[in-house]
Amino acid sequence: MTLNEIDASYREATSMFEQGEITKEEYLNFLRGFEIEKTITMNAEELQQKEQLHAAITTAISIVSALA
Amino acid sequence: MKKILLSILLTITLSGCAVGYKVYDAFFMAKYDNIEYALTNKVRTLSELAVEDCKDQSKSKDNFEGLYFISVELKNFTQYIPDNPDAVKLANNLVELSKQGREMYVKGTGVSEGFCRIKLQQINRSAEVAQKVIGKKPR
Repeated sequence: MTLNEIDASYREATSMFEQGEITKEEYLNFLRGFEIEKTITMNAEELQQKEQLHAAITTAISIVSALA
Repeated sequence: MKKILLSILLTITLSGCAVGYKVYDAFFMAKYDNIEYALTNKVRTLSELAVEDCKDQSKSKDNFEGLYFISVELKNFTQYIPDNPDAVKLANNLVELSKQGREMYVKGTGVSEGFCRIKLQQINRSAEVAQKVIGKKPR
């Protein structure tokens, strides 16, 4: 997911609301959804950092073991 | 040598240092799980294909029910896997998103086609983000 995609989606939803194509309730639902999307991105980044750290530790262990 | 390294990790962790916790969490994180990955992929695929049904209120309701069911299944599956807090958070957020979509159909009022499409896009993007990181968990 890129920020551009979320931004485009947000603009589309806002435009639809302004033109009366979606209700206020539907628009609010979208806005709450965008908040969740942001949280998911943050959670995913956290998991990705752990994965990278895990790979680094595993590699370090392999190297140290080979040297020993 | 592994024992020495593990001892160092343990020492750092027990020292209460924040970095130590991160290293500990990373080293002992839950491994890649096929079912976890498959359920996330199901959410992504259904949300991608369901866009085609957005003109049909009844089919869309069924699709959102399906997305909610699979997300809850994913949440429950990840919940008791040890050292798996990040996957649990991702699953909980997918549940919340699909629940938001489902709620509009449960209320019974005419849900717009635009709502259906954009809500499915939100779920689809989020499922893809989750799938990318879940797929990279250590083997």
